Amino acid sequence: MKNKHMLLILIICTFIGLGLIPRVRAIEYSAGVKEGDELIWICSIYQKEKMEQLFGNDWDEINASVFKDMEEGAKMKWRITEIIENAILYSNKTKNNESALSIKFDIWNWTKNVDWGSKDSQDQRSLFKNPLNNLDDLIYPNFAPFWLPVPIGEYMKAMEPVLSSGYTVDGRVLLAITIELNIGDLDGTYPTEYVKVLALYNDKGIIRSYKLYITDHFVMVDISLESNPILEIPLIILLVVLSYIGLAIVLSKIK
Amino acid sequence: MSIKTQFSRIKDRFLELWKTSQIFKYAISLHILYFIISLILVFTIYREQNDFLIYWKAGGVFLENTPDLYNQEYYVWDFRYFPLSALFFIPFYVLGFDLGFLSFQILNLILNILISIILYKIIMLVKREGEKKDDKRVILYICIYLMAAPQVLNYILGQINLYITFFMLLSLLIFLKKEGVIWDLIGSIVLGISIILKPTALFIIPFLLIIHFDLKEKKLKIDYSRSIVRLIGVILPIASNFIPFLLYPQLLEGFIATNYTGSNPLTLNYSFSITKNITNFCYLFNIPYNQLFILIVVIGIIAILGLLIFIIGDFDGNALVYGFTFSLIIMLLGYFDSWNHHLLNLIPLLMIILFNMPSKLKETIGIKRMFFFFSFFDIAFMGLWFLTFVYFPFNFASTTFLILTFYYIGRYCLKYSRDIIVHKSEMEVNEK
Repeated sequence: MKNKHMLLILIICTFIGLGLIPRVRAIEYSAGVKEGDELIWICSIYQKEKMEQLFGNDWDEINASVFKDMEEGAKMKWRITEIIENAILYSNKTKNNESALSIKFDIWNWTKNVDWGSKDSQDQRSLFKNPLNNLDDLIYPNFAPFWLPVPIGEYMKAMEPVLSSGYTVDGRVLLAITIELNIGDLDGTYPTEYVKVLALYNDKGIIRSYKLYITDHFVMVDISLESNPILEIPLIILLVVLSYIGLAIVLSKIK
Repeated sequence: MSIKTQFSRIKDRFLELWKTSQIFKYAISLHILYFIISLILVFTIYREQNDFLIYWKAGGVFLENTPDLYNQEYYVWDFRYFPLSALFFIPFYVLGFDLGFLSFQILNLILNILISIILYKIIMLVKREGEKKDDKRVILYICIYLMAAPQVLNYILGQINLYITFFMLLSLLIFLKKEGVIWDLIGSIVLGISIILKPTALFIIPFLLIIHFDLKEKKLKIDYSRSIVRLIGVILPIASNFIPFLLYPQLLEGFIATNYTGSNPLTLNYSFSITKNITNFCYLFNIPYNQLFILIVVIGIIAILGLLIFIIGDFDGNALVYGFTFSLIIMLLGYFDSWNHHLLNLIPLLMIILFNMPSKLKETIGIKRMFFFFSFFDIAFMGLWFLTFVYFPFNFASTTFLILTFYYIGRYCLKYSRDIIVHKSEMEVNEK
């Protein structure tokens, strides 16, 4: 009898609790990075000739391209100088001024010189707070944005309807955007072959890995966000080894 | 026995176990807790990010705009199952998301009860002679199944694995308990329904054949009529999907595009299949690859091995139990996406095998360890993957244990099983 009452109370409380849960949660997007953050990317693969064949000779010369002067083994750095959380920008989509997020940053172009010296340029990237106000112009020249607002999974998913066909957003396991381009998708001529881009993001909304493939996953470009492997790799090895030892001990006790 | 009497017996047994067995009490309480937590999480945090949303939407699209079923703009993640599976979700769609999800989860809960009952019945059927007469150990293992960690993810994601397990075990029970061609047909139709819902059990089809190669006589024996009946039974429900495909050709195009030309397999993830671990390796080291080629090679190798063992091995009348298990291991090791919650399909089969194999064997102890790993530890290695994926994107613990399970079962079927059968027939001869 006592158990029956307990169970009944538990069920009633659960349903009351469920009823009190707000149904709609408004998502407030923010920049994810903060002023002073330094982001360094390293290029491990760059098939320059093939890329020129795919997209034309001056493909990396376009304004706002992060690929300008890229070479294998080189690094590029951004330093965030300002975050504008309440920017107002004109949206070509809605034909109105809309609320946006902006980041300003200094750029050190791709270089193999680890002494960064003084910055090469500065730039600003903006995205509307309502993801649907963005245009589908993420296509060229970078194919995938190097920065997105957070929570990035929600932003990416909300942005998906405005993106061109060929874009797939996947936030199920890792935050990723896949872009597939068929021959002539850009301007009728380029790319000259099927191209696939896979961009993975970290939880700060920064691109952590960027790979551009042609058919059968031949890699043409591989860029990744630099982390601190001297600290991370030994920790990871230790974690993996300890987990397996722990598991072996536990399982060996089962007879 | 009438349903009323059966229900009354189950109720009495439940109350008896509740009063006498501590582990049973824990298992039921923990399972209800999983159920409640999943409801709270889905209605709050994962409202827009759960698998049920896809099934629910698919039910709606099928109802309102059938040719558009594979238009992926409707879904959070791709809907890639057979078109008739969407029919099953229409009632949930009609109820609306909240009530639909609640009903779906209550049905999941009921399914777990039914699965436990069927499991009990199957184990009692295949339990090896000499095992203790009482059913305490059976109850203990069923309790472990109810407490298993994949249950949590299955509930939270609103997944349909329990439906697959239910139909699979029901078909197995029919095959084991009932004799005659008509039951062969019914059993395989039930299995076909599970494949419609989700093709996890697809590779069971070749294991339905009644086939054995006698090594002594060097002769292949096939029961053609029963094998054909089983094949017809299982293919019938699957083939019925061609009706919507014929009615709406756009559906077929969408189905093919989603399943065979999509880009999803490219993304890194913690799937523990061999195929995924290979593509993750290729991703990490920028090795060119063709995902379809890898898929075919991996599945080909494991499936051929599994089938060979199935044809050559001796199973003492329980070939289907081992065949079902082999097929699931092949699927889990071969297909791109093998997740923790898919283990809910395998764990009950391992449990049945544990009761069918002699408990003292090295292989049985090995499988028992695998059973515990899949029930409680795999989920931890999934978490570990998120910490290490930048440098080490391999979730290979389950891969290793699945291969070991395959090895142990294969070894048993080829050697010990034969020895036991020979020993048994010698004993019978001596007795005579």
